[in-house]
Amino acid sequence: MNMKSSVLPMIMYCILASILFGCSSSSSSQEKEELTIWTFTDEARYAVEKFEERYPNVNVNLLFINNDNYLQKLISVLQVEKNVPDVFFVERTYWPQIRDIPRLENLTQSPYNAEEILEQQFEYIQAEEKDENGIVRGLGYQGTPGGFYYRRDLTKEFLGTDDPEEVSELISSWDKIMDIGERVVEESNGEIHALSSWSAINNVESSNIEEPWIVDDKLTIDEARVHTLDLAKEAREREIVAKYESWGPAWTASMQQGTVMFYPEPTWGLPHIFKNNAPETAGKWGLAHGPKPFSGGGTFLAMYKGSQKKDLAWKFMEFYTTDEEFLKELAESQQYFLSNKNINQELAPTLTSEFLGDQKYFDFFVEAGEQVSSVPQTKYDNDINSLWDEKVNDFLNGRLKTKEAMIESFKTEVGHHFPEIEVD
Amino acid sequence: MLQTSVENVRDKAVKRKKMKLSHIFIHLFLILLAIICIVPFYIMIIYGTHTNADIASEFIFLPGQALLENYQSMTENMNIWRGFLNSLIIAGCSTALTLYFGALNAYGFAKYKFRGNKILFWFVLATMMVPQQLGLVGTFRIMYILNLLDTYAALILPAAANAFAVFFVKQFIDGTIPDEIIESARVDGASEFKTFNKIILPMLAPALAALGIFAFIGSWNNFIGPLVLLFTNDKYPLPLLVQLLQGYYGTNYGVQYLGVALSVLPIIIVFAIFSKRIIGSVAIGAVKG
Amino acid sequence: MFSKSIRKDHYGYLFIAPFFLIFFIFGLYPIIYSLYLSFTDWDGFGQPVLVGLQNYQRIIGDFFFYKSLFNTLVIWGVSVIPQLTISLILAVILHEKFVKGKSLFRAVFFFPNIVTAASLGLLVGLIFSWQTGSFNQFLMSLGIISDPINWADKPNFMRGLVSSILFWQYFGYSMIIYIAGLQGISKDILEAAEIDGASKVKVFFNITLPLLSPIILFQVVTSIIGGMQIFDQPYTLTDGSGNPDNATLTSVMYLYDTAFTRYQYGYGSAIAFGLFIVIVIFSIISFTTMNLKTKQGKA
Repeated sequence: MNMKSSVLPMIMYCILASILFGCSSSSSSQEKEELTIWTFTDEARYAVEKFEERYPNVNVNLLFINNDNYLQKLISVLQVEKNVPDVFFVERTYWPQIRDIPRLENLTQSPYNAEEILEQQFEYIQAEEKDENGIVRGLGYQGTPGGFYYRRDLTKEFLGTDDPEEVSELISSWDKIMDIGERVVEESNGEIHALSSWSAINNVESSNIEEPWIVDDKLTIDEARVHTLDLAKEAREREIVAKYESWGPAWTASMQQGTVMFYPEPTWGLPHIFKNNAPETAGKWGLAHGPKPFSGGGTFLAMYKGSQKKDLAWKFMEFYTTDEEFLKELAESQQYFLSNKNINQELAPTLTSEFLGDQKYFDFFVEAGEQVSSVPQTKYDNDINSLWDEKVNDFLNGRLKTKEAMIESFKTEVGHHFPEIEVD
Repeated sequence: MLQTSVENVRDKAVKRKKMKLSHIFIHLFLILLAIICIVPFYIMIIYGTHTNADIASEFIFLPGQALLENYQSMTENMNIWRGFLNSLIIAGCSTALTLYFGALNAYGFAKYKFRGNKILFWFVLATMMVPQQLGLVGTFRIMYILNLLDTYAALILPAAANAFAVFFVKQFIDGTIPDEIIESARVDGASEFKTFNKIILPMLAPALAALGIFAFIGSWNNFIGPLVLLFTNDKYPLPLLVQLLQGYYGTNYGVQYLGVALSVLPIIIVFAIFSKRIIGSVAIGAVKG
Repeated sequence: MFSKSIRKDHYGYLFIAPFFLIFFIFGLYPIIYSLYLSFTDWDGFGQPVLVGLQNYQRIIGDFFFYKSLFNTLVIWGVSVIPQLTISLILAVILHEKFVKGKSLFRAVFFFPNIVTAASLGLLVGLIFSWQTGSFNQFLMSLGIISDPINWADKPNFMRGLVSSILFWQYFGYSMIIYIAGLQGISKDILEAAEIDGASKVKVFFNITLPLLSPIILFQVVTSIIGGMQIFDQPYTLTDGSGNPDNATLTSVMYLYDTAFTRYQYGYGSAIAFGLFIVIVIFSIISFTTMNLKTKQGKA
């Protein structure tokens, strides 16, 4: 009994002491150089593996944090400057929020001279890599022009063709798509829709706006956004779009089941959306140009200004954006479309995808990529975009009765969340 | 006379029948409520064994065959067992600190009549009224200053100051530990802390056991604390991993169900074994409180 | 003897010191620092800038502060009233002799209380999801509806769903506490009343209920403090969004969003203090009304 009773307090003090003084576990690096990288996407694993093969004396400590929490964690560590990774991946939707944080390394300066790398990239990407003052803060390794992925079996049945060029011709305007959609829904007794939801329209149109949400500290609603709203409303009323929420389980199931004809998605949709969610549908897909060029998503690599391993960090960033051998391998084995135009172009004539019925998809995207314009974004755009999307959903689902009410409700909410923004 | 007694008997028989009928209804009501309580957990387990395509197409009430498949895709991105370990470490250490320092403090208040005893005790009680979230932003700050962000310690150390534990144990000491025991220990020459550690602490065992269950459950289920203070997935306790499921597998309900099921099953098992003790301690806590 | 113990009394400070040390660092400092921040504007980079009462002025005109407060109150009220009444009825039933399988029922009803709230939120979210939720599929397989209903789009339904989760989690807990209270009531009183010919219902209202009033007060006050802090369930149910139409945005979610997703630490802190004031007011109201009632009952 006595023994027992003295054990508990002993343990207590030990816990307290060990927590207070010796908690930080010392990392045991066996003379290998360690590089810490944070990512929100599992595609980073492939690159890190290859990087470690190339530089055997480097050990990459890759942390994969899910998108839901990533931005918040990243901003937290940048604020307190503790546990900051040397290199971090940033998704395009919140890149403007990160880009202007004064903890990011200036990549324009030497020894980086990132402008030289930028020259090899698509124009729309170059614009986004720079901050307000034109200084390069991140490198995009991914090319993200989009296209209309379509089910060949469905276009054959309803449109009489599965040839990419003919399909492109048939869907060259929203009006044409709406007419097709109406017919398809009728002929299939409501089973099959042209598009999965209004987000499909938004994927295309939101890439064609001219002004960001905030111009001179004032909320600005680009005309293209209102136009999208009208299109979405019409599409919903005419049952062109199904009601599958993007990234929801019904949406992915629709790819497997073939209940949606077109999915406007960017390059990375091929490996990440279609192959991933509907592997058994290989060969049933095609790729066509829609009413407008667009791009979607994209990833930037940025370096922490206070990093102790800047050389190594830069090595990795360079490797991911310019290393010809690696990039070719990446493109071919992962079906990965790059930001580097030269390499894309080199591969374009030969690279085909079995999943897309042997279509030359690099060729397709090289062409599409040239027409994509860059989307101006401010650090508020990500938050405001999701507010807007919410309100559009409310409007389409009927809780907000009119367009005017919807826009009014949207403005109020923006004004409340960001008192520094002027809202009329 | 005779008539009335016959009527009485008949009356009673009718009453008994009525009673029986009402008993059946009461039992049915209880069973129905129990089923409502169990159904979601049943669905969770069954759905965890199906593919997303199955789940997307129809209502299911029998187990499927995708258990292994779902488990494999889940382990690709998250280590739920690591989450268990994290939860165990955090909840275990927190509970230990809560119990020991709660008891130490309660003993100090109960058995030493120092100046300001009453006022300080009321102060401790008053802190119970303050919601944890009030200091959320400040907590983030102090953990940063102490360099404790993204460590278990950030979640464990504050557990040493648990006002409810103090209150609870003090009630118990007041009721069960007479001053004579302490006096006789002093006569024997034991130091004050030795007396506490070797004599008092074992006597508090029943109270500490009840309190420990409370503290452990509270810490095990803590969500907003680790959400704010931890950054690294490897350190995430179970509730955060569960929330992450949505992000990693938003498109795959089979995996999400399985993840939720795995996070709940061990609790079911532990509860099945210790349910009497757990419920007992809740009851004690309430009556004392 | 007496003199000896007096000499030892200063040891008390040593015994309570660790608690207070930890409390000052991890309990009090954060609160004071939050109070300071509530008078500043700070995005986490650079230094906080003092702005006086600006944040509090903003709260007064902040629609979402009131809305989140309203949501919290509605969600809390809808869950707590059945929680405290149904559990009382259950406690009385399970306290009766004739009921079979008492301990099993107690265990089943109590069980959801120890399950992680985050898991419950996510689970219910899965079951009630639009296109693939099992609830919709269940209704469809019975032929009650032909198209899946978008539950997540119905503000009152979603509020009700959060309330239901809370009810589900806490009615068993309340029940156990009531049972403990019932066990404390002397059986003689109840039996004497029954022999006098009082019906069960009468006994319940005239004897059991007044005797339980301290326990009811305890439950009401703890549920106010807990209820104002509702976060886990709506957060995981709606994937952190508080939708539809911010109907499930609770006060603490609003605090969290403001401070930790929009990085307005100053305003977030001000919201915390605004919320605290509301909790204090409600606690005082419930204390005084309960006290008044018990006094009236006694008189």
